[in-house]
Amino acid sequence: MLLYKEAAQFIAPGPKVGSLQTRIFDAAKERKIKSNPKHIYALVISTLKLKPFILEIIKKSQVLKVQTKPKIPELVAVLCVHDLLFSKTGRIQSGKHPIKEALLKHKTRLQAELTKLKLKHKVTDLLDLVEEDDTPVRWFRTNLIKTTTERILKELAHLTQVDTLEELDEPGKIYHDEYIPDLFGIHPKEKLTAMQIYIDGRVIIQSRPSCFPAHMLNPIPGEGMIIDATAAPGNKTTHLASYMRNHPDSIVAFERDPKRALILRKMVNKAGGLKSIQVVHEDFTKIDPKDFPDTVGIIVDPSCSGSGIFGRAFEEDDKDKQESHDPERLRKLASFQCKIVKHALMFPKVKKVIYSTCSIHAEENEQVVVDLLADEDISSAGWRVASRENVIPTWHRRGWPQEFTSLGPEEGLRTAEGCVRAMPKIDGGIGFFAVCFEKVDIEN
Amino acid sequence: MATRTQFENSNEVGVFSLLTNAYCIVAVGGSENFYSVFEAELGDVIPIIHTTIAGTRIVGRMCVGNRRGLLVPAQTSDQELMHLRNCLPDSVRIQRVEERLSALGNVICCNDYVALVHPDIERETEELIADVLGVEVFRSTVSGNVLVGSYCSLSNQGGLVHPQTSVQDQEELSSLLQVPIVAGTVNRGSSVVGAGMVVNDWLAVAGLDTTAPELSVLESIFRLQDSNPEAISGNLRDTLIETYS
Repeated sequence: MLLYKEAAQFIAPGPKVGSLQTRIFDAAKERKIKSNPKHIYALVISTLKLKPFILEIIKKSQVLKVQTKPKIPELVAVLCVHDLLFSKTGRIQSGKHPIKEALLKHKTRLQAELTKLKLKHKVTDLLDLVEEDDTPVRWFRTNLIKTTTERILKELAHLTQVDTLEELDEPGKIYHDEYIPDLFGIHPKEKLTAMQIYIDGRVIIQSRPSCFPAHMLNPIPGEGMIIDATAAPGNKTTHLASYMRNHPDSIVAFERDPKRALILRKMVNKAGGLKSIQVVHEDFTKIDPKDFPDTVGIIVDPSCSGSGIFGRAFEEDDKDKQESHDPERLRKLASFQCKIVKHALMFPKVKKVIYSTCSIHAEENEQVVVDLLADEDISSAGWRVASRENVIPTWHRRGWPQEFTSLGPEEGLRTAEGCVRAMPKIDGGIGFFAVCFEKVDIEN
Repeated sequence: MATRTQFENSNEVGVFSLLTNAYCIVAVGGSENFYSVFEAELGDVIPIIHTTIAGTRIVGRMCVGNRRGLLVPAQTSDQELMHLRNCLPDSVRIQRVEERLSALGNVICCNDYVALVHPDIERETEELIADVLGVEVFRSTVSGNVLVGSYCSLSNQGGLVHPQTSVQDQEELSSLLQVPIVAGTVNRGSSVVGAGMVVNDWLAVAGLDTTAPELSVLESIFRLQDSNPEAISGNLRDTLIETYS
């Protein structure tokens, strides 16, 4: 019964910090919970999916009304009923306990209400009614620091190659991406995380859109230093290292949060990028550009509303969903985004700055670009948005031209075309925005 | 096969007998006519047990059962219980139920897979039904009547309910029970179809007054005849399939 009592706190409504996964695993690390965190996570995620149905079943069967001794907390009842009715074993995972005994007295009634609910919705499995909120494609890239694409393909020879994303409708197929080199898509049900190539870091799971920044920067090894301004968890950083062929000390990765800096170090180490990547636990906006005079390129992926991210639908209450559209919050985020990108644009030798977010709101994307271009210091330094032919020209979804009308029709359209957008799920990954600022010589 | 008979001038066959796929219970009567009808149809296939329940002859109303078990009311005497235990096949469980609504046959109606029960039945009884009879248990009414056992007659092939059951209720019941359901009467217009007849998967016995049309409805909904059994159930199955697709 301890399992259920501990899990109950994670399905309780109310404000939350961090994703469900981090909340559970952090609680386990801090010894706040004694049960296996993996076990709790599996139970909680499945319960959250079915929570509205379980609540209805409990309400109709009147278990909590009739059963007053012992009194069963509602959330514990929800978790127990989940295991009783929906788990594979159909058992409440507990030793002899008054709550378990009490609920088992009502097993028949609960079962009957479940059947009635299924009949009402005309389904054989209530999970059919739950909208899947999983990624349509699992993306992973070859970690060029450790291996080559040829070798990975040899390891994955059992998968059939397909030419388009639409054909990737079942496990056993692999799609070689046409936009990003060394990037592959497989069916989400494929057990990649159990494969040796994933475990020893020869491939890295990374959504296609979040591979765009490093590809757009396309750094040349030996030409100068690259900075990743907001590096954790480090997928983009190690992607950069792939492009730099692990050239010694070519990348500096900043992260101001101590916990996330630890994760960043771990990820860099796993990918084998310690030689080329220097991890600095510091706030990028507090860095003096003079301390990094050889920097030629910067990637800025600041914190954003995360409105392009999915897969957490069941973890959130409706209140949380509204929050990502809160104009006040968006304004605050946008002002921070402006500040950090401007700081990046002030590095003297930098030729290219990539700005990216995993948001779909124009406030954090196109409008930030417009604000930056309007800034005196930035325009006088010769910054402009790189044209489409230099930023993944074949990608179909670009920036929204209606946001750039202030730049004039021609320049506005050129700038919009220079931005890259991705819609969540439809474009086979998370929602994303990326733009490349380039410095042109003022004399020309 | 559907036949007609009478118990001492009464048409209410379901009151004086209980028929399942594994056994048959008949009341002790003045003459053996009633018993002979069952013996002629069932012969050596399943045991036919002569008994009283709680000292009464209304065995069909007092107890309820299917091929897996038999539930009898708390008033059943030890001797009756012993007699039943000796006569029933070993695979059939028998259980005394402490239930305020002691006429179990009136408040419970079941086949081998599902049971409809009176909405006010106790939760402990509900668990016992599920446990002993191995069925899913649903609290329900039949056209507004809480005595589901009196107004519904059920086998694994189909069900007959109170004649005034609305089409919508019939559809709900048939999706709950997973068998075709038809509304109808027995014994020349009697609406207590549960008490007026007994049925299992190959035999139905109704009162002597049952008319030929009533009997033909029984035969088709319970699939008791060999030729052209689809007349009613066929149509009903189509609607069933439609609801489930």
